[in-house]
Amino acid sequence: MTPRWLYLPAAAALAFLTVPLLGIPLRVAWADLPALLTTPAALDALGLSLVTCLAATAVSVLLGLPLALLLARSDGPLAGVVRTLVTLPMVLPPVVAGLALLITFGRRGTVGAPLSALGIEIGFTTLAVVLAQVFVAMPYLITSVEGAVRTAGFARERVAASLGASPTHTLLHVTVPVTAPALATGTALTFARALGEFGATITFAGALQGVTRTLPLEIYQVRELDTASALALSLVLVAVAAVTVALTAWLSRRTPRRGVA
Amino acid sequence: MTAVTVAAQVADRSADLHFSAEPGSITAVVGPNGAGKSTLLQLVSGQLRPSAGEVRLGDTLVAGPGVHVPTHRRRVAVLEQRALLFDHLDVLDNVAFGPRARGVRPAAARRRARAELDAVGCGDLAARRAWEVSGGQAQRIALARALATDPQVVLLDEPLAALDASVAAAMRSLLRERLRAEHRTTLLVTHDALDALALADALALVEDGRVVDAGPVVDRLTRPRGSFVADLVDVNLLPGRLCAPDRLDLPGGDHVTGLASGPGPHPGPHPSPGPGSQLGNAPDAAQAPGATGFACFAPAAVAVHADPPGGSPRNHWAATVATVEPRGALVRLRCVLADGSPVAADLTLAAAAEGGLAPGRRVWLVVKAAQVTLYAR
Repeated sequence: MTPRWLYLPAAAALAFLTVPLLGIPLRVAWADLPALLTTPAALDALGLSLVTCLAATAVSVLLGLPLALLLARSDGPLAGVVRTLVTLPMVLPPVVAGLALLITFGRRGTVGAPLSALGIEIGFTTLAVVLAQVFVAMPYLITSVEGAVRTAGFARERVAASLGASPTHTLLHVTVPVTAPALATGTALTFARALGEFGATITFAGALQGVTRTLPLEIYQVRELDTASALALSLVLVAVAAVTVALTAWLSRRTPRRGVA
Repeated sequence: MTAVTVAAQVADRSADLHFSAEPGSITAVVGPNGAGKSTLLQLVSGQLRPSAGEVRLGDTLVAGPGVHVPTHRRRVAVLEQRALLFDHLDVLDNVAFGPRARGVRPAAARRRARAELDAVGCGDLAARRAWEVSGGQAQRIALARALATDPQVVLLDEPLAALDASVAAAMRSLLRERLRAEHRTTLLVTHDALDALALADALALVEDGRVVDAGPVVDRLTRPRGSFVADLVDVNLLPGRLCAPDRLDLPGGDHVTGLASGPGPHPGPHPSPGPGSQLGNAPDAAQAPGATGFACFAPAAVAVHADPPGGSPRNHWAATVATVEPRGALVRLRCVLADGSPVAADLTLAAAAEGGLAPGRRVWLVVKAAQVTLYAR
């Protein structure tokens, strides 16, 4: 049924997507890898990325999950507007996101200026890195959880209520467990997106070693002067991305089948 | 045992429902799709807020002006067509969910769950994951889960509709056993006359957002007052004027002779000395000449003749064949009388073929008077 000639463009697509990624492990200086990954700059970048991504993921879950749960229950025109606004950062060029954050939370920004008067500076700090990551990554969590909650439907929540479960009890013991695979997938995607964040970070937070210079920024800084280090750090990001994708695939397979019962 | 009283409107569904159920009774709620059966159930469960009017469970006002007790505080259990077990819990914890949600300690909740599972014959499934059990088992477990909360009121929304016939029969007797024994006030939405007859005491007919009729289930199913129930129990129903206890005049000029049947506790056509005698549903109307009444008879009681019959049969009407459809080993003929009233007749394949009965054919329908029940509205 499938025309045989489809294999030709399909093979080209596959090659285009995989060959460059395979190039990284092929070009990495494996013997020097431990040394390359333990230079002070590399260690700073690795540590900073780990800390900021974990913080950004935690914030995304804590704030994004409630928004996703509410959006899943809403169908009005207002909900449509909210849904569009929430997904906008996913398609927005990150540099624009960084600029938007700068004019909001920067020293002269609408939120930043009053904070600055109180002695609180956000721009070009580690906090700015986290804000940039949350801004671009939280939509991934919201959309995946909202979709899963809608798909699961609300019939089981109604059953829980008829069994005497309060809305909070139902949320914690029915909604969250039922959508746990989607929540895990969304969390993994959020973490991966935060880890790869570059444009918004460099615009809003700068690239100060140990403060705002995360892994992607470090790679960008040294890519020409020290290609070996750049490749070594890139390998780390490729590995994390591969693990994330594998994890989400495994989780979606593990989701219990919903039978006729 | 808790009475249920609904006198409520839901504006955006154009529903104006007035309904009451005796404490401990089981009411079958029937009606066409979209008539408002689910609306009635949702008003009782608390999923729907009336736009006006009130809902009471026993003496407690649960919905009314300025009052809305949420579902989880009403003690109203719901069993739907789908079992809707919680897939992330094992069977035992599914049943223990209600008691746990109400603050019962884990050990006590599980003991209760085990007892409820045993009571529905699913004790051996306790450790299974919820999605590993069959459809029939899941529905039994859902019943155990609902009853483990000691509900005041049980709402059954077509609980047997999704089950295979053999599984449904077992589930039906389980429902009867559990609900009858515990005298729980129950509303049962069904499209099945057998369910209503097997499980319910009372029947409520919902049409166009109103409860248009309510009464004892046996009376309402054996003496239908409208086409919906007549179709449900698969009988012919002709409305007309009772000009004598044993004679009904049809609008088109035909008349029907039959046996007068007053409202009573016993099903079936049975002669009674005075129509509408003892319980007096509408004794005056039944006796008054010209009162609205019905003739009721089974499609199998209708014989079809090509020529006007002579002699014994007292009921014969000219009719036109509208449709001919196979129905198992029989053929169902749908005919139309002179006044447009539909009458169905079940014939054997041989009889239908012999008569050359095709749509448009003029025929005579003959029914023995003894096979016809007459009663007042």
